[in-house]
Amino acid sequence: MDILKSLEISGSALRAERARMNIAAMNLANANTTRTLEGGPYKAKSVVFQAAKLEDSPGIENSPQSADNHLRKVEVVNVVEDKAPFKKVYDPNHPDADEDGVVLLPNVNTAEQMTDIMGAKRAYEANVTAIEAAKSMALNALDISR
Amino acid sequence: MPVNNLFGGGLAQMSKALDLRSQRQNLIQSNIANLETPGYKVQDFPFDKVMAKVQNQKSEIAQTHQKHMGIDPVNTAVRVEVGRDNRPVDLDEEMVKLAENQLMYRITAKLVTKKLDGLKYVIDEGGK
Repeated sequence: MDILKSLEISGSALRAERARMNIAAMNLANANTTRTLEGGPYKAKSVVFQAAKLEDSPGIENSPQSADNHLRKVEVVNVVEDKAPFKKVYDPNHPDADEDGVVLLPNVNTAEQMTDIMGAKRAYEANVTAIEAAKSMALNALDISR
Repeated sequence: MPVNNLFGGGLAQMSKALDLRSQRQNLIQSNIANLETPGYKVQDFPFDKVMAKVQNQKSEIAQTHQKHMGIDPVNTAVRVEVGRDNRPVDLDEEMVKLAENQLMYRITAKLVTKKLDGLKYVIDEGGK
């Protein structure tokens, strides 16, 4: 029973989903931010996931003919900015309004971010369930020798 | 019962079954982890077919080295033309497989325990 491999896989997914959750939270928090360090309004961001090979466990020979070679964990490889145009709102009293009184607001789509949060939450739960299953299998294996 | 059959009668098969179940568990977890990875294709093998294959192989070829018997269940599944299909991961299906696999692992482990219990009983009674 390779509990460490299962933990590595599902653990990597927990990490990735948490990163996705953090990015969505950041987008929501900055949904009305007109000033950023880079200048201009805040741009919505999203994560890029990539399937990656497991690290070779030292000391344990990974035989070339084994299902283990098909295993993939998941990694966040990049955080990309949304290319959608900024929202234009007429608000002459806003300090960041241009001469026509138009303010550029971040291109954050709140509904989209909420669904992203739901998706991340569900995926997180699925991976927690998978870890629980692996854990209980390892305990079952221990019970054999009892 | 001949002495060299003492631990026969399925212990080897059951241990192979446990092995396959745990490999399948890792694959399912890999699928769940990559639920939303673009381009990832679902990976799995049909347990019964691969198990049958393992048993057939065991009877056909004499084992000269422990490493030689290692077979790749996923590739075996491809060779017998079942399993691996080119589609993304379906969460519901993976969760069902996860539960099923976990339950079957528990059953197999329980069977091994019972088998060993039986042996222990025989040994204890024989000593009286």
